[in-house]
Amino acid sequence: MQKGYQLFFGILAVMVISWLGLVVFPTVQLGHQSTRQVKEIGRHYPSEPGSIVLNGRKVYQQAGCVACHTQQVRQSGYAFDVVLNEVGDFPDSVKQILVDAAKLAGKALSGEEASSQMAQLPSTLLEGVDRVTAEGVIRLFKDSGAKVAANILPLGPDIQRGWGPRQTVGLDYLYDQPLLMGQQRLGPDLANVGARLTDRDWHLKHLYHPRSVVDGSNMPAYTYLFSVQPIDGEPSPDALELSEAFSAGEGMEVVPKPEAHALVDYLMSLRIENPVFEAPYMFTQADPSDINNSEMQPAQ
Amino acid sequence: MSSKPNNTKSKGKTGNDREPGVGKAPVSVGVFVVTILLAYWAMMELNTRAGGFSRYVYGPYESYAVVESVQPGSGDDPIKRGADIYRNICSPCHQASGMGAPGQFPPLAGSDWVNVEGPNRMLRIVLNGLGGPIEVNGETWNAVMPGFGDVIVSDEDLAAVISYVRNSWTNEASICTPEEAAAVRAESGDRGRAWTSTELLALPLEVQ
Repeated sequence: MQKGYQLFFGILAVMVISWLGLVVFPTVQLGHQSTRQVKEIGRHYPSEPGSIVLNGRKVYQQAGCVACHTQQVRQSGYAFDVVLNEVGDFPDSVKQILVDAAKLAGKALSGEEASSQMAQLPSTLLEGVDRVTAEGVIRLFKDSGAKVAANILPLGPDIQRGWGPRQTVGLDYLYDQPLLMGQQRLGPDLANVGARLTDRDWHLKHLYHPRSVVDGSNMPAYTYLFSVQPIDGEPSPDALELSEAFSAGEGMEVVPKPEAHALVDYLMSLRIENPVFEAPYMFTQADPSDINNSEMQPAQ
Repeated sequence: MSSKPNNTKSKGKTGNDREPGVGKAPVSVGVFVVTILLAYWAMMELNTRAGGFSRYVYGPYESYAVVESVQPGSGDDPIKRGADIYRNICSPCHQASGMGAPGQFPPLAGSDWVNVEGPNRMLRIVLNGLGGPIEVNGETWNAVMPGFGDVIVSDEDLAAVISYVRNSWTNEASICTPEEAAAVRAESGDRGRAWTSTELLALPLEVQ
């Protein structure tokens, strides 16, 4: 073979460059992170998973959930809500600025509308404006004595679907070993499922028979995580309360095995509801009734 | 592009019998130009979209400065900012009401350690902690408070939480400025042990 060394070094160079780009640089850039104190929740994030959650994680891997579910929320943009929190000592000038600010955002605002905005605080002045506009509007209020804040609002299809309040970042996967990020979405994203779907019984019923709680779901039933047994005297306190169409039959009950409980524990531990530096959003302690339960429509 | 056979050993042989070899074939200058343009374009993309390769920058944010500027805060109001910090760090012991717990944690609301001219002593307690007996509103308490100097790392945050305590519930005292917090931190931040009330009472009320 002629000039074999050229061939050898050529191939070596290709391998080394790929290794640098795919392994070394990402490690330098994203590796060696540690948990971080998050002010909004008053504790370190992420927290190390306990043994029950780790068992559930094993069930998640064995059942192949990762084949159809991702755990990554993407974000394609961001916008701002401009909120007036306090009017301050000069309401007349604030009123004039409100009219000017609306003009800056390309809207018309009459004096009465401005007064009504100032009457109910905090009031949202502008919704979903870009950074330049938000900064410009806040600058208008600078010397007026009014307190105005721009609340960041992550945007994107995943966030619109209610799959998470923000995008996932490297820090979220700190204890995810091996990484269960997933590649295809035959089902919804699970990055924030613990915060989205908070009903334990719902999860158990959904695993036993997805169609019993979500009409037209394409998820297979994981019946092997449950034991169907005859009722021996008193019904088991753990038994699922299934509707007529999905019940196991007269005198039978469906009881979750420990694996089912562990899997639900794992699912309920998946949360990205707190902001982190890399993925900021305006965090408010959510009212449980506000949590997105769009997947929880009961079957007819 | 043209390439002529350059393998001298393969003379006489044709087609598949010839051993493949590496040689110097002329390459069109266009290939070089396109390669350089591609490399240039790639560099420009990295320059504008890679966020300086920072681990804290994910799309759609363009750079670290942008991520930093869009952080939701409690605004410029130190008292609101302090309320967040108080809720997370101070309220487990001193309670959200500032009343403390009888026999365990002294009250901050209406305390004669809080409603004084300057925040000098308060700053030191928060930074390094407090040990031993302390008299608050005529009652003697004997409890240990750890220092939070390495928890509240920013001087703005430290000043904000002090300002919040000094202006909440029934308290009415001056706002603590970040400069005051920085001055006290520079003086006693690395003290390494808790203050006692006797030591604190010997200090002036206002930050020097």
